[in-house]
This record gives sequence, structure tokens and C-alpha cells, in this order.
Amino acid sequence: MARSSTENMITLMSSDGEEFMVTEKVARECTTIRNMLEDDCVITNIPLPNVTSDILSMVIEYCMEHVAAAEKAAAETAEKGSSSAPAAAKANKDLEEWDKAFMNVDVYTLCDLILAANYLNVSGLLDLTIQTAANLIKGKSPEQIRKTFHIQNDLSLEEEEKIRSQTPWAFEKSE
Amino acid sequence: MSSQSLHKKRMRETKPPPVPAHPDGPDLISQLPDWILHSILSLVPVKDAARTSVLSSRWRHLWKDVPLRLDDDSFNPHNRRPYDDRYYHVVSDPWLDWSRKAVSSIFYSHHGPIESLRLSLFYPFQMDRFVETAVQRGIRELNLVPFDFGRDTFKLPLSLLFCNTLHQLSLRRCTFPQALLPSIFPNLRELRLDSVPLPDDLLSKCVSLETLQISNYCQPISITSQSLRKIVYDLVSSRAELIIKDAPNLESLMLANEVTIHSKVKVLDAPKLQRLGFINANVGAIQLGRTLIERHEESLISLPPTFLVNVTPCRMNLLSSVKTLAIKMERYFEKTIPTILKCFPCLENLDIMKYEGNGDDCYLNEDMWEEEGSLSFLDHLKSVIVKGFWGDQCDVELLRYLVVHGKVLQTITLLCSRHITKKFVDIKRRQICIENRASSNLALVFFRDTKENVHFSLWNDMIYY
Repeated sequence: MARSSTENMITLMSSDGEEFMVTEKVARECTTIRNMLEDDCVITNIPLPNVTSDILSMVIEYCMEHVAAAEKAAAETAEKGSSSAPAAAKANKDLEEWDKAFMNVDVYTLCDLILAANYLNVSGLLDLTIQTAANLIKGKSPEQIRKTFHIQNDLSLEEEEKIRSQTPWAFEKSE
Repeated sequence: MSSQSLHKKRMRETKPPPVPAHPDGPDLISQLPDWILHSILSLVPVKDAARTSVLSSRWRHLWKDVPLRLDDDSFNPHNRRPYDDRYYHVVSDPWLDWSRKAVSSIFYSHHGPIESLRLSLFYPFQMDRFVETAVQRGIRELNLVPFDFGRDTFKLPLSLLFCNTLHQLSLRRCTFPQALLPSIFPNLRELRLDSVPLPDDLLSKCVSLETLQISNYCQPISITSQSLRKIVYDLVSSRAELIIKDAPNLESLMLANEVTIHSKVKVLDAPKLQRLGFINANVGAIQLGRTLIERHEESLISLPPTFLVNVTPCRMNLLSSVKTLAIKMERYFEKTIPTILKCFPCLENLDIMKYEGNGDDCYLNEDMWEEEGSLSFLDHLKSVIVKGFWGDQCDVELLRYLVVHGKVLQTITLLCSRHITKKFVDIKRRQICIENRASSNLALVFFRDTKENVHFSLWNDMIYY
């Protein structure tokens, strides 16, 4: 069977029943889907019961952007024979900027994206979302982190004091 | 058909602003599986990770199982680089003691594997305990800088030499044990040594070593290694010697541009060597395959220096694997360039760093190229970059030859250390004889030279600004 990866279309169905038609190339960015396609190459309709339509549309948006960037880089390399370092550096920077803007989401969306990236196995998106979550923790006080992520503190005052006294270095200002 | 338009659901037109969701919203992050929370915590400094232990009972012990990445410098109360010896004349420093206690405390309270550890606040006699613990807990990257005004060195414990998790090791002022066993550091990929004596047989015993960096070591080093792919030789003292004796997999040899006058570099056998630089005027002698370029002894102090070229008719090959070469061009050194380039018959990229304008004295002329006979690199050279392009006679002579004879030359990038005016560009284009270019695809581009410029990024680590 002739397979053209640029033309084959795959339908992805979200948990709330919405259908998304994407190129096979975009779908293959999700390792989970790539594995399904490799097991059964005639599959065209894939239900994704763990991902809502809002989140799925974002995952697809991410995959499309990254596929487009990779295709553009490949085309430039083919055209010029070799990719020039400055052009590649700029393209990388552009994609980083795009990623950064893409991560401008609330913490609920962020947590859902982490789960979806994990389930669909999109390693780039998983790294990006986990890094974004880490950035929200870095340099913050426990109070700030609880507020950011709506974490309910179920420790008693005594328990919390005890933990703090075990690791005083974590709570003291070094300056 | 545009694949993007087939996407049925309309993409979000604008990004939603990061709305602070209502304060009593669900605690989604705490519901993520442990391994994801571990991944998140592994990306923040250990101090920040430890603070999450008081968030809630869910977070109480999470940080302790995250692979530990600890740099004790983040606890350095003075927030200075510890090896800046000028600041460490105080024998007892309560802040420093507090920091040392904190670092020790992490070792007692943390349970996970140790991913990386950098110690710079401890005296050599205090380091043993940490290193032993790190070895037991599967250390991958270790960086030791003993804290001691440079007086005392840290003698590495034997257990470290057999540590099979260790991938990266950086040492400053440490010493290896006297007798080395037949095989050490079974999985070590990267070794960086600064002021560390290198035992003769160390390299041949590290069977996985790919990258070696040596700084501040003035004894001769002879490299024999089956696995090495990259050598960084960063040397500031004289009388040093680096001989690449047998390195069948060596791809990259980077020499810092401050190599001093009496030092010697010999590349004897490296059939896969692709990148080499900086070749520079200060090296006392550089042997490239069968060509030996020596700075004349008497000219070590006198100016102008003279360079002796000695081509031995021996079995050694030309360095035909080298594709990228960097030369640091200083006054009087330009006349050796045809000889140097002849050693690299398949050269594709030539990166030149100019140190200063040579004025109108130029010791390079057409005859010197002619003397070398046929130069096969001219059939391969694609890119030339000149960093610190001044537009002096020396730049012009060199570039004119390459423009007129480089058959497949694609780009010449000139990173100018002076203001670029249209007049300057026009004059230089004319002087370089761009009209007579041998390659019709040649582009000549001018850029202002800045540190941020990515064109020279391959060599940036080797340049001292």
C-alpha cells in the first residue's frame, strides 16, 4: 500500500466526542499514536478517551507548529546544501518564543496538558509543561506555591514546624 | 490542499490570559502521579524542592526521592565563586560553617540517587565522606574544587575510580592515586582537569572516555586513546606539550587561543579529526601530520619572529579528514598560512580570528602561495569567516587569493571590529577582487563583530575576551 505521510489524514476523537482531522505526520508526533499506526497502518480513526477537546486542540496546535518548524528547517537545508548556523539559531529561538507564548495558560490547563502529553507521549510537550510547572515553584515560598496551584494544606502547625526544623537551610535566606 | 485547514475544530484564536482560577479550585497538581511531580522537582534547585515538603502531606517526602542535583555554591553565603582565592583569607567564617552544615544535612535527609554534585566549600580532608556517599548513591556527574587557598590537593579515593555510574568528572587541584589498576572509570564519558597531574596511563585505561579537557597543566601529555572524540587543551603555562599519538576516533581538537610561546602541539595520528583550532602564532611548534612549523628559537624574544617549516617525507598522511580549521592570525604569522592550509587538503570551513590590525605591513603575497604548488583545499573550501576583520593589507591579501582561487566558495563572512560604512564595504569588495571570483555562488557578507554573534560560536569557549 502506497503511503504518503504528508497526505494521509487521521481522525482523532476527544473524550467529549469532538473529531479532529490531522495529517499523519502531525499525529505521529504523539508516540502513542505512532505506535498504533505502526501496529496497524490502515487505522484512520483513533478515540482518545483520556483527553478533552480543549486540551486535544492544544496538543495538536503544538504538534503542528513543531512539524512545520522541522519541515522548514529541512527545506532550508536541502536548498542550501547545509544549514547555516545563524539561520538555525534564529529558527530555534523563534520556536522557543512560540513555546513560551503557548505556555501562557492557567495552572489547570497546565496540569491537563502534562497529563495529555504524558498519555499521548509527546516528549517535547511533556518537557515543556514540566519545565513550566517547575518555573512556578522555583524561588517561591510555600505560601506562594500553595496559592498558585490551590494546594490545600492538611498539615497541622506542629507538623509544619517540625518539618521546617528538620531542613532549616531550605527556609533560611542565604543573603 | 493545505493540511492545516483540515483541522476541523477552530484553533483558539487568541491565547487565554493566565486567569487566576478561583481560589478554592481543585488541587490538580497534587493529583499528578509521583513520577511527574518528581520530574518537576528535579528541575528546581534542591533548596526550592525541599521547601515543598511543607505544602501538604502529599508533598511531605516527594523531594527526597528526586535525583539530587546539588551545587554547594548555591549555599555559598558570599555568593562568589569559591575559587576566587582573594576572598578567602578568613579562617573561620560562621556563614560558611552554616553553609557546610546545610550541605551535609541534605546528604542525611535525602534518599534518592545523586545525579550531580559540585563541592567547592569544603577542605580536602572533608571531601572523602561526600565522595564515598555519592559513589554509593549512583553519582553521575561530580565536580570537585577543594576549598583551600590552593595549598592542599584532594587525593581521590579508590572507590571513585571504580564507580560505574560516573559519566562526568571535573576536578581542580586533585590527585589520582599512585598505582592505577588496569581499568578505571568504566563509564566515564567526560573528564575535565584543571591543575591536576595526569598519570601517563590514565587515558588508555578509561575505555569510555569521549571528551577530555585539560587546563593549567604544564607537563608533556601524550594522547593514546581508542575512545576519545574531543580534546580541549586550555593551557596558560609554558613548556607544555600535547602529542596526539594515536587517537583513531578523535574528531575535535580545540586549543585555547592563549597557548604560550614555548609550548608544542603535535598531531601525529588522528584519522577522523574534523575540527582543529586555534592554530596560532604563539605556539613554539606545531606539527600537522608531516609538516612541522616551528618558531625560530632566536625569534622567541626578537621581532619579527621567523617560522621554520620542515616537511618530513614520512609515512604520515596529510590531515585530509579535517573539515573545519581555526587560525588565530597575529602579526607576522600570516606568511605561514599557505603552508598551514596545504596540510588540510579537504578543508571546507576556515575560521580566522584576527587579533589586531596589521597595518600595511603584510608578509603574505602571491609568491608564497605559488611556492606551495597545487593547493587542493581550494577545490573544497566553502566558507571563510574572519572575526575581527580590520580590512588591512593582510586581510585583503589573504581573502583576495581565496576569492580568486576558491572554486566552490559559498560565503565569506566578515565580522568587523570597526564601524561598517557603505564606502568601507565598497572599497574592501574592490580590493578583494570580488569581480574576479572563481565561484559564481560566492556571497560576501559584513557583520558588526559582537560577542553575541553566532557565526563564531564553535570557538567561543576557546576565546578569552
